[in-house]
Amino acid sequence: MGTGSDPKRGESVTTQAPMPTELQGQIGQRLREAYIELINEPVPDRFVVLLQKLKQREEQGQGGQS
Amino acid sequence: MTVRDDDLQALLIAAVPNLRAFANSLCGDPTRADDLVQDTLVKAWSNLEGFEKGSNLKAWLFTILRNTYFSELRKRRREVEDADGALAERMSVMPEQHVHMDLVDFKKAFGSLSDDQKEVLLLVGAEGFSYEEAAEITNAAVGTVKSRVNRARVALNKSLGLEPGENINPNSEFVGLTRAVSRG
Repeated sequence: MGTGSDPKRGESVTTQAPMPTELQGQIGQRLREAYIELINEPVPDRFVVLLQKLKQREEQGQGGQS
Repeated sequence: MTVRDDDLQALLIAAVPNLRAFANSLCGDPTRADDLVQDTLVKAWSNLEGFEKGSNLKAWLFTILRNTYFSELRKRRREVEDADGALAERMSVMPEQHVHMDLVDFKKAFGSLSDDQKEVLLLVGAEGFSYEEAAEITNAAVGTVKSRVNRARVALNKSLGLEPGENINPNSEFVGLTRAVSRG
């Protein structure tokens, strides 16, 4: 595999052949478990409020904005 | 041709859980992660012209988020002038709450990956972006993305001491799961 050349970042881990699918599967499964846990966290109100504000600001300032 | 309508607002809101998960996994700091998401939403809203209609909104948002993250990082690095120390500090783990050991170990291992590796692994492995999409988002060559993903897997495997043969799920090719969910 023509990799291992990212000199500015010094990615020094030796590149190897792709790992067996079953190992990829295990890692992928854990990654997804961890990730889905984060996704399932409730979204704080601040984001809904923020978008509401952005929209309002735009509606009020029609024409006069960047 | 108002793109900015309730639809868009809804689309952005719908992307927030994924953006937060991505930001959190990347920086390991929930407060900072939420700030990143907020910056991303504001930038997205005020740069809608930069979004090509019909293209992937989520990919666009992820691009904004990771660009924001990395440019902040560069700024900090310049301030700190201690790249190694800063790097070690940043290698925090994802929040550990109510998780079983496997996941705690996993998060630790994940936290020790480089940012480059983390982001591609998240994009491809967790979010289900294609290598090509991940390459576009990270502004890297597809080959670079592939090798980063592979090196990330190798590194994780090493630090987790996973052996082939344990806990195999033959169907779990390394693809993301959230894409289907988030497209609703």
